[in-house]
Amino acid sequence: MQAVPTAQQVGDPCLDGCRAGRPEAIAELFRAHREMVERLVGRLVGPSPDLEDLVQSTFVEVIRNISRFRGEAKPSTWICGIAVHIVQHHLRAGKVRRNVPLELVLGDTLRAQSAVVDPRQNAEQEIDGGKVTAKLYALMDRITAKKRVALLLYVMEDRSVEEIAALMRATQPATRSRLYFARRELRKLIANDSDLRDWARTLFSGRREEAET
Amino acid sequence: MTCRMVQRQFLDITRQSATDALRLEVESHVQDCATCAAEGLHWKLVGLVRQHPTARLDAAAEGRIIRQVVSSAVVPDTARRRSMRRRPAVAIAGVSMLALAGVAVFVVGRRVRPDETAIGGASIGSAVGDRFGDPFGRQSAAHPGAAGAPVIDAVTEGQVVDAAEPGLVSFGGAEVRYRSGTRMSLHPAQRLLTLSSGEVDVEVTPGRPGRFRVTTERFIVEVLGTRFSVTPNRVRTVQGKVHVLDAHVLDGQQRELAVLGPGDAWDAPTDGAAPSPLPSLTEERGVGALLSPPPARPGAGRDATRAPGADVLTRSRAALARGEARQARGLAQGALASGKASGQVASFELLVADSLLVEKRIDDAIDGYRRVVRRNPRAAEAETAQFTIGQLLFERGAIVAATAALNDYLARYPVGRFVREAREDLIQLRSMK
Repeated sequence: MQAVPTAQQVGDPCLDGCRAGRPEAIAELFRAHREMVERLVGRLVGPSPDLEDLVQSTFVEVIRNISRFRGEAKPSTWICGIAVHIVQHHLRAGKVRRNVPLELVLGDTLRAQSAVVDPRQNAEQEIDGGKVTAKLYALMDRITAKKRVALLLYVMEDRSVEEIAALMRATQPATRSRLYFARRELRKLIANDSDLRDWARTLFSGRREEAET
Repeated sequence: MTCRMVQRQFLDITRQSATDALRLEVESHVQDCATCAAEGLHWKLVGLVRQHPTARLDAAAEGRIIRQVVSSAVVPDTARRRSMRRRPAVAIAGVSMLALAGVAVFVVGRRVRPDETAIGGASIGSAVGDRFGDPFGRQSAAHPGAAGAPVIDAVTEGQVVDAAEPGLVSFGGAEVRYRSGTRMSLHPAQRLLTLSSGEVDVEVTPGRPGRFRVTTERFIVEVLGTRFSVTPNRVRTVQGKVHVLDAHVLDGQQRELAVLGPGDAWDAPTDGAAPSPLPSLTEERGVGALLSPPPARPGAGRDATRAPGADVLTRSRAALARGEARQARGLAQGALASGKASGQVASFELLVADSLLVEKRIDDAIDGYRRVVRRNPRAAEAETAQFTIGQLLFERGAIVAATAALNDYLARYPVGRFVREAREDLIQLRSMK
């Protein structure tokens, strides 16, 4: 997991500056936590044209509520909580986002990034990586926001159940329950999707057969 | 290990938190079990997505977001004035359109939104027009406490504040900033502030039951959720919508003196004069003058070169400014039908839509604005119309349609006059979904 700035790194003067509405302090806070928020939001919503808006909404909320931050947790934890909340709102709304065509979502940027990350991959696999991501997130739209966010925080962000419970303001048993049902639902969704089944077979069975031969 | 137990482990194997022993056990089971093997492949797909990079924002986005976040914090009054000066003063037609948009916003008013924020219930409303500046003891954008002014947290019923210096008091879901010399009494249970002298800026958080009221000797300001300032003789709305009621009850009824939209101000009539039945829109903002075309520069204006419908347009706008929507519409429609509107079709059509809005025929007005956009896509009026459509749909609670309209506005006019407002509205819309 990527290291995030601690309260000491961000510094009380920065937080005080944000409380006072000083632009330079706000910019400092944003730069310190931008990557973390960007990655978290990106993981939770998937490839989406709303990423910028969601990151922005998160920081708008952070600044608006910074006077309520008591310093009992790290600023990064508190900001993550806000980001999770914003994403849940966004996912609950859903309708507009679900109408975004995949062609738009799978923009050149994303494709370029997948190509940069692993240049050894052949062209077919590059496309499949992007396609699988888009398809999987599209399927996850059918899972309720609470369950989806809990699952993604667990699987993609490596958060513990305790952390997820704190971020989502839920109890640990409730979080475990959400994880259980989300896993079950996702399993069914993938199993019922012929594309994903084929891709899984092509990507992994093929490799195994090649290795065996 | 049973299939059920194995399938439970896939999640931990995917996130690579399973122990080696467990992983080997699962793998050996999978080799003999087709069902678990198939599911294992599916979870490998999830693992693939896990390794896939998330989308990243570009460098330009960082600048945009910082600007937006900073502007969502309190904007000092001086900064706002500077930004106002930078606006293109030469855009005379633009000013007229802004005035028309002002009329539109005035009539419909800003919506009162439910508690929509993710954290704490603070409004995600526009920071435009936030004017809690120097008069309230701020040296910068800081809140009064930061400027050394007192902050009253615990308020008792009927507490009287006689302020020698500016400060802040929170009660009844409202933040009240007062300037020095303010005398007021506070009634949290009734969500009531009685102002005797001085000036207060009030920011009311929507979502609480009952209306927040500020009473003066002469009038009462009633509000659900907004930001406004009050002196004993004057009300000025920064954001949202307020009702100004007569302080004196006549025939068992409290007369409504004005309804103020964002940026509107209302002055209590001087002693002896009858209270104005209409908001001081025309008096305060000179909307009548703004609606009319500006006076021609010496030597520049030639009656002979004026468009044939210019006079009609002037009269229509004047009528609309007087609140005579029907007459204004009649004149505009007459000009459109007779061909006098040549070259000014967009202005006339916009005026027709505005007149419908003044009559609170919202659906018809939206149709009218859509007509302006459709028929005059390149006219300046189309921009105003497109933004107004988004605003009206927002007012009506048509969240999806409003989002689409405002997105459409931003796509068409990325550097338009209402970009900031549109983006702020979109943020609010998202939080309301």
